[in-house]
Amino acid sequence: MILLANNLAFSLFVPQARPAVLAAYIGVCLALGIGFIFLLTAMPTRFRRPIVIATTFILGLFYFLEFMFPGRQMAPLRDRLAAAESGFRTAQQDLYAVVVQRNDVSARLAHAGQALNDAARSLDKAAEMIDRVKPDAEEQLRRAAEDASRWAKARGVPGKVLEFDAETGSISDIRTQTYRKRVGDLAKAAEGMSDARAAMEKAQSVSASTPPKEVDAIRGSLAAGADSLALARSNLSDNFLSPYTQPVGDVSVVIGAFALGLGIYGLAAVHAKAISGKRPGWLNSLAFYVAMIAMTLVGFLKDYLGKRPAQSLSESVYNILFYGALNALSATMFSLVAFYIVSAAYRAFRVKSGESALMMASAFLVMLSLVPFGVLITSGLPVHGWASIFRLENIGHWILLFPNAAAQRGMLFGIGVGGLAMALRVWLSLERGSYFDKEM
Amino acid sequence: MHQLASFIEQHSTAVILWVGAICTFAIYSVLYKENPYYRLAEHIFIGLASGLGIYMTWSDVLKPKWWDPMVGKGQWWWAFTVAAGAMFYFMYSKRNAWISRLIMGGMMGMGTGAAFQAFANTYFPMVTASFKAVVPTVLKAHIPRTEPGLGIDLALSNLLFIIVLITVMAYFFFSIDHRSRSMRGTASLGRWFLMFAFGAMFGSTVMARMALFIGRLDYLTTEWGPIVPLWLWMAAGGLLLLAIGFFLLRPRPPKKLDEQPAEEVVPVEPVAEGGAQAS
Amino acid sequence: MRILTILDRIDRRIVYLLLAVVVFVPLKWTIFSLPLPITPEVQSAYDTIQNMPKGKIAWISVVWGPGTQAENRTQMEVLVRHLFMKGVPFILMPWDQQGTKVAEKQVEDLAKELHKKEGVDWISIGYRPGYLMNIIKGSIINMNKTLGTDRHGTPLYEIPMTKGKTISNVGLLIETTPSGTLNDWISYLGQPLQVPIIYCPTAVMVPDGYNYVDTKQVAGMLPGLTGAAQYDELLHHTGFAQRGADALSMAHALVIALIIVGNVGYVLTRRQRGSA
Repeated sequence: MILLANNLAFSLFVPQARPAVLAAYIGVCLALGIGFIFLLTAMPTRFRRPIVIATTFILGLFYFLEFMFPGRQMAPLRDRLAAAESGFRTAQQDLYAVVVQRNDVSARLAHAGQALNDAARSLDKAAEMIDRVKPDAEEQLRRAAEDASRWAKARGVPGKVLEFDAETGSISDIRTQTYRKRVGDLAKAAEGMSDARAAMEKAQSVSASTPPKEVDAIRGSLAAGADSLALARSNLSDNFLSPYTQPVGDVSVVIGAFALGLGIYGLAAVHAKAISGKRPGWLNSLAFYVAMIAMTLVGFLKDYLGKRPAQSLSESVYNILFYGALNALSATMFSLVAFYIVSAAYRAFRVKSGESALMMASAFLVMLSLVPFGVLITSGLPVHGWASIFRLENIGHWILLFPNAAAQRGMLFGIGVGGLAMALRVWLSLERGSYFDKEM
Repeated sequence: MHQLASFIEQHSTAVILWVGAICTFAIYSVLYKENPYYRLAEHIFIGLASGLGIYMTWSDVLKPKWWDPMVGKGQWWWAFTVAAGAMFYFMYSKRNAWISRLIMGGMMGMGTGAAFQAFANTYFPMVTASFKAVVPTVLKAHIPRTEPGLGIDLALSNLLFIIVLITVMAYFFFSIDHRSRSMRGTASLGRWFLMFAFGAMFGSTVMARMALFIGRLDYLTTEWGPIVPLWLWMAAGGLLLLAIGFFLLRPRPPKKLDEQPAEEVVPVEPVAEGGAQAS
Repeated sequence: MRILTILDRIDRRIVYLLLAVVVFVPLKWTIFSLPLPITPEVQSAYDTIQNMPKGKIAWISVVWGPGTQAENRTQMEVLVRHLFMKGVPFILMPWDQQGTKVAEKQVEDLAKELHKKEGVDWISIGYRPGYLMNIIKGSIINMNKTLGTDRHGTPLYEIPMTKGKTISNVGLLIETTPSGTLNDWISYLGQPLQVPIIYCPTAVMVPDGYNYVDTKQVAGMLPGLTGAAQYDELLHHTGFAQRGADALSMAHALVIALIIVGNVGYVLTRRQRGSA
């Protein structure tokens, strides 16, 4: 609460649109920033690594906490919805016995009925909680909007520096957004619950004599009902960090944008050396500079020349450089690989073992199945029936959907676990290597 | 100058197409052999991309997210990000390079935190979806997708899916020693099954790259081609035929010594002490 | 034998020329019109748009640049055509600096052809760098505030198409990408909010994409250029995708033929060396 109140004050604490005052504030910030960097340069060596480790850890903690702890206030409601969802999924599985007419249909139906009754009780309890919590949330929203308005008036903050909610016209800051989202989520949860109840009522009418196709459709509605409960549950996150995700993201994007100069400096330095030393190919480096400056210049000129006559010329030149040159060069560079792939396939793809033969066969089948030519080869086979499995498009599709997907998933699990372990090592500064072990 | 400007404005579409075609041919010229036109086009490409990067970083990132809030809306605290961004440039300082590691470490930390979130939502559903039904519920060879129930073909395919998944995971599982026979066999089978995936990846890579070339060729034939006058086409066609003819009929230089087939190796007789070496 | 030497060592420039000819001919002249079967993933993508409830809007994520426009732009084109035909408004979300302009121009051309209006039937929010996760999570809290303005600087809450809309109005995500950004969309939009996703990867990513098709984490997939060609068939429209699919057939046939020729030459050469 204190954090939110501080944030409200912070977000409204702006100078009253006087350029000189604003410039002074910005100047002070820049000076403080430079002072901080100056302090860092004076930091003793033994403190440097711990500071880097701490910074890496704390900034990673933001997203970690935001994900791991969905918040306590809504936890009981989420638990109820989870219990109801579990009942729906159990009933959905049990009803499969009716669809395929298994021997234990009556036992399964009884089990499904029990699961749905439990789900109904959970939904009733969840509805009670929503009825209790929603008025509080609405009251909090009303108070937050009033507080924001009072602050703005007391400080004489001009309207243009504030943000307003489009629907209600009230001031929109992090606090009001949080409460507005909570009210909205509770309303959506109630909506999801009523959709789920409708599916549940249909499912409770199923008996052993219900046609399998109808039962299958009811299973589909149960699945949809469970999904809407899952959706409601995931929306009901009141993690205290979630409202700050967007501002934190914006800050990281802006800081990252300042790093563009690193790449530009690197390129410019290399080509400047080539030009100054008149190395072979220095004219190409000159062309690099001309192209870079030209593109930057016309880009800015077309945006900032306003209605002057030169603006349309800038725009035309920009279009020529972008659509004509850059577009074509980029696409053509990528397309060169087509030639190299053909040449490499011809020269290097040699079948020297069983495994390479299997790989080649799989490659041929997939390549042919994805294009009309391959379809033409087996077009004589029937489209339906058992013989259709020998049609090339079906073979290729089967390879992609079963052995390929399984192998890809195996690799993906390995990559995922490895990536997670790597992320953990970087976050906890346990990673070793030439960059991480460098002397500070 | 004024005439040039008005010409460019009036004929910008044609100029764009001609510039595009010239750039395309300049890049494709490397397929014949390395040449200065390709190098020039390559450097121009890098220059244009860098220039666009500078312009768009300002117009789409810094101006709307940093400059406008800071100066337009009075959110003066955005000025602190300048100091944070400046930390990157300490990479070039020998004494204070660690300051750049501070900001890079921070950005990496945020990235790793985000990776945890992505992992759960992406991989957990895959794990649950991997538990497929392998027992057919309807004893038919094939059941259409619209009908309920599991036919024999789908049950067998699911069984194969699970076997492939387990064997491929066993192949990549290096924490357990692969010395035991069962583990070795499983991993070896996994390697065989991986060939399906590699073959599919090769086939689709070929398709992807071909599509990019087809896109370029389509640009040349349907967009640029129609604006080229006929006489130019004929001249280009004639030049191309000449070039092909020259290439095929060119006098080839004699084979160098090291290209000749290796001579038969003659065993060298052992050299007697103080005696001459046998040939 | 000289034929063996030729088979094994065709000059790479001859190979390049063969490829160029084999691709150029079906592009320029329609010599044959080959059948194009519709795969279940493409059909499923089509059905997803056909069955979209009224009042929902779509998000189209553009991660590609000019390098892969042959596939991704074509995929985007066929899907945008379908959205326009069905009357589903959409928000174009470009994440690539160069791809932004190319994608916007494509949509502008289609809008002109099908008489659709910007602000009513479609908008583009312009190039947006940064973590996808932040944009999605911010949109969950307040979509119009997070996405901010369209490419002309008009706030989203003033545009008729997006006024009063929230994340729950998003009924579809179309992801056109040459890289692995699908995970983020699934993690923060598809899985938690159950928004259907149509995945449009370049052909390189197609084998990996079938993983997501199998787990039903995506509602449909357009595999590369052929996926776009199949989709065009479903729309009863003829465009670059179909021409490209025919050219692709010939290119694949050439690659397969060259691999076979290379292997035959290799085997025969080895036998000859062995017997010599």
